[in-house]
Amino acid sequence: MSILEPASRGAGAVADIWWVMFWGALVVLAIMIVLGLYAASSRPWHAGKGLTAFILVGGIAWPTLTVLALLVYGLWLGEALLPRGDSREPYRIEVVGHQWWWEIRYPQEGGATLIDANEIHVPAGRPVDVHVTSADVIHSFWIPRMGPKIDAVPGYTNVVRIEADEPGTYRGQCSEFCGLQHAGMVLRLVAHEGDGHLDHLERLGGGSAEGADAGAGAGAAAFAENCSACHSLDATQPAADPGPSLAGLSQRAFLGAGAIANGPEGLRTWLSSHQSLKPGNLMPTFHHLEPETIEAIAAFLEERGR
Amino acid sequence: MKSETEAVERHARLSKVFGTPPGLGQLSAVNHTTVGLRFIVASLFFFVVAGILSMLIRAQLATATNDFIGPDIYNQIFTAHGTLMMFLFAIPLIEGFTLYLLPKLLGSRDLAFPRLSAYGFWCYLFGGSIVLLAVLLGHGPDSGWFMYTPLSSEPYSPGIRSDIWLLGITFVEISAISIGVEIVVTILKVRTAGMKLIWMPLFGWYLLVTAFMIIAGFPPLILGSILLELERAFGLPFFDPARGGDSILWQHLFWLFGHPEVYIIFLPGAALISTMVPPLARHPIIGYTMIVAAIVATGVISFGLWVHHMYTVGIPHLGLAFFSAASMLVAVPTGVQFFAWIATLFAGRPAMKLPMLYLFGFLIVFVMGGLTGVMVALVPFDWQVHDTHFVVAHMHYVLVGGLVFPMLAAAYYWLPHVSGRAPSGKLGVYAFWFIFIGFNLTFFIMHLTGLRGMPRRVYTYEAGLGWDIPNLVSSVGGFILSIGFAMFLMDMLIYWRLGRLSPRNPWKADTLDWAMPIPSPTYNFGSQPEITGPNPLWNQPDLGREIAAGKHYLGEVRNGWRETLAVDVVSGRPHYIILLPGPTYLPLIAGLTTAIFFASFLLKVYWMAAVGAGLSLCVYLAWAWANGAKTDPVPVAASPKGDLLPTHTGLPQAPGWWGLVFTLVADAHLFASLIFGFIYLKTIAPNWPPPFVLEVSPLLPALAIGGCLVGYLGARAARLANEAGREGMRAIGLVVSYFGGFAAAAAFVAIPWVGLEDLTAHAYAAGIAALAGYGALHALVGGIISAFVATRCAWGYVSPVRSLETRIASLWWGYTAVAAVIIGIAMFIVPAVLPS
Repeated sequence: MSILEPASRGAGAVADIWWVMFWGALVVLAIMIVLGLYAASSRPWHAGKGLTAFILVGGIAWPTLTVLALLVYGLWLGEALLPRGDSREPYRIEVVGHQWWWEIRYPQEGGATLIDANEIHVPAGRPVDVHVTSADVIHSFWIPRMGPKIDAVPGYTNVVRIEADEPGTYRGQCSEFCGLQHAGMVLRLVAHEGDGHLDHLERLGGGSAEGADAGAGAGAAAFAENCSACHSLDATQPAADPGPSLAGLSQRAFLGAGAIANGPEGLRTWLSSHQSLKPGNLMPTFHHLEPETIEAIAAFLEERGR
Repeated sequence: MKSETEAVERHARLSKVFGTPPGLGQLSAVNHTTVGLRFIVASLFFFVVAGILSMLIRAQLATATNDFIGPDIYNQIFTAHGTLMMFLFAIPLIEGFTLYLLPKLLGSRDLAFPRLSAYGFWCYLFGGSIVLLAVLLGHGPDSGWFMYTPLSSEPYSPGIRSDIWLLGITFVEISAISIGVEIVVTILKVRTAGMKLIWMPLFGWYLLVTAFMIIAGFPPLILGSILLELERAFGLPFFDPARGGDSILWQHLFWLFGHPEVYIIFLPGAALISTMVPPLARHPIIGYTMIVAAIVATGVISFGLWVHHMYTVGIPHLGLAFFSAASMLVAVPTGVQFFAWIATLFAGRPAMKLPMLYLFGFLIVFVMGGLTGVMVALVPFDWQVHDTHFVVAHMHYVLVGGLVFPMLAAAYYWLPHVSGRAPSGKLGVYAFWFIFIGFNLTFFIMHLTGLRGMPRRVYTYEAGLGWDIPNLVSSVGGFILSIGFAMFLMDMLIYWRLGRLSPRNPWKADTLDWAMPIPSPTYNFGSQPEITGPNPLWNQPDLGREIAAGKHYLGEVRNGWRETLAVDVVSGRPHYIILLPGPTYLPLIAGLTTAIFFASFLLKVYWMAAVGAGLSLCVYLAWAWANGAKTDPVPVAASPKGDLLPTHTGLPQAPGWWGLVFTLVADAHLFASLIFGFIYLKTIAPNWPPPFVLEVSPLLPALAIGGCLVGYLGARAARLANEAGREGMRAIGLVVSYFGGFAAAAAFVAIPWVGLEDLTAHAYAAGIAALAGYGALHALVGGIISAFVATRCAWGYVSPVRSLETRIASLWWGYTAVAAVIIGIAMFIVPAVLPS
């Protein structure tokens, strides 16, 4: 999560400017402390001569020149970070902030969209334009090692450009206060080598072949009764009252937008006690369900969420 | 000996006139010393509460995945911490020491409007109590202290929590605006003889600019709060993007207030420093004019920075460049002040006294806050650290450096003035090191926490992200800091009563606040000095004795009057004598009726709120009625030399007239914010154009605007007739303007009523309703003013000499007429010509 360990060109440039400013600030602070101590040490300045010039130089010329230089540097850098002016075709994804999870949308050729949640799969070494908006309150999309954050504002779509220099996994987190589980809105960016991100999309879309219909069996029935109003198993079809899509669930590293590691145990713990793992999240508790029913749902999700 | 007996007798006579009755009668106090100290004590109380809340925050964040406090309570706690510190500690503390010190530094006996500052205190106390009570009951606001919509809007914050913030804080802001007007008029008019504007202590310049910033900066937030409350209570969708509103509009309105706010807090801190540095350096300030220019520049630039809190909302980069430049350039006037203080130390022979230690704390902490401020003003860097703990650290360096350290220095500097006793100095030194080390331990490493990616306002975090150790260090530091503050408060309490008696003017200071016995008498000065230079006590070493001996202005008590001089704004030549009001319960009663309004609105008992508003209006009218001479005043003797000065009653330029001028300046800023909001929604918000347009007969707007113009012409005719002594014409003018006002108010209400189907359907309709409401309210108040003045005329309280009331009616109506025309343009022309 550290901006001092940049993993993209943009984040690297900002980290560089931080170190320039840090050392510069230390020098300024040292000068001010020395001046203050020296001035207070009862050394009379002869007849107060030259003190006006002292104020003009120290108070006006010095800060003016410093901030102007910094301003030009910052403007130039900011322009370079903007989502434009790259000969390479950017990869496009859409991110929608929800209380308290991230909806990830991959527009496909032909107008279809594959919907995922809380994990973003992109190619490494290629610019990615992230189109960010919100379904409810203001959130902020930020993966520190990738560079600038951008707010997810209802009614607007903002675009931020990121690019992972190397394949890898990068953590992100909502950075605009958005209510009870602001702390529980974690995001993972997986940058794949070559076309690895397409494999993910294929697996994600694969579940759709089985359709939104839950199928037969006890797990399917329990899912249909308790879950399907908010959660879809089909990456091409959102549920009517959308919670995070569960298509491709087994591929995710975490459940509940970072609340618990995914896996057989994690899934069952989440289903039975998500309100203590992530207090205030908008999913109702399942205390009224028998342990067997929860087990059936879990097994069904493991089966269908491949 | 004779002169000393005389001085003691003068003291007794003045004390009797300026005193406040004991016991419950203390509730009627209006004296600036008393009211100022009340502000200070109340703000320290809120500081302690907010400080305890911050310790809970640090306890929760000390370790990863801590379940000491859940998210619901945590969100209330950090919201309350920010809200209390900003609105109920910092601003009221500034108001408190300004009310206490300002008249003393300016050589006057009280403020321009003693009852107004008492009213301000009650509004602050009652509004703050509402917020505090809600927090203690677990119903505190929980959307963060800047209350971003739509999180704070009804769908995402149902219930009373957001309303507590919006109404409670607006209540407190009434207090801030009152004090702002109070300070401006006092500085411009209520000084001692001979105090030219350019001889005024720098404190006066600082507070003049600060008060203007309050008058200009608070109205956008008040407007925003009103609009959001209208949305929450009645569904008018100003901030809902689905219905043509825009959540970003809230951010603009909030930061239009919020950034000037930072300088509203820093400039008074700098004011204290500029007052303490010359005595401690034993040399007049170097670069007085440059500092004055720097103060004004800071005030102006501070209104061009607000967007730097909004770099990440999606505003085009080149648009941000302007705000980035302004944000950085504010370093220049700040630099001027720092170098002027250091130059003064260079020129003098600095005395290493306790306040000096705290001033060093200020130097280091504030410079660091300023440096990180320049960093976050840089757009690309801010894109990274915005809303992380880096910003939390930066902000605490600025605010604690800019206000708290100067305040601690000032507390040690002025404690002898308030209590007549001096602190020992030892505990104060220990307290300093605890505070300084604890503060830096808490907040220096917090920069790193932020750089490592920890967002602000998270109630918990995972282990292993590099956040564990810095957070633990911050928490340990926070507790050391708290111990330091506890030591400081103990030091103050102990030496308040038990310290050794302090000599007069223990710092050998140059300013008039030390030209009186300590603790200060209620009337400040036995006679108001005529000063001959910018450093009165250094220029005129005998001044203290002369003042006590009644050798200067207004040394004698007559008619039981509380008198103080009003001077010409620039030259400081005596202009007239202000007869100050004595103790009265009116401010308390007005505060209570205002509290009825706010509390009823909060509980959604709207008829009761209307009753509260009506009662408040009656109290305001009673208050205005209590003023005024029944006969034309004659000039009275003002000094032993026999100078004659008129009393203020009814004078064209009486304090009341100035008060209305600056109140209207605040009002105009609220109005400008409303117009800005309407145009902003029209041009930028999503989901425009609206599905319907305003359809009314042209007669209604004609009646609304025409009624206001008639109101103005009537009031103006009455003013001119009064000056010409034509009482019949005066009465006709007032009656005409009265009817004009009520017709206009009715027409304004009718416009949205008949012309729009559903005010809740679209922000367009809501905006029209808000504009109409503004027009109706002003026309209504105008009508009431006309009726009030007509009544006073009938009672014989107004004459060609006592013309103040007719001038006030005319001024109000002039403003209202201009506003009505602008409202008409905004309603009917703007939507047609501007693109959506």
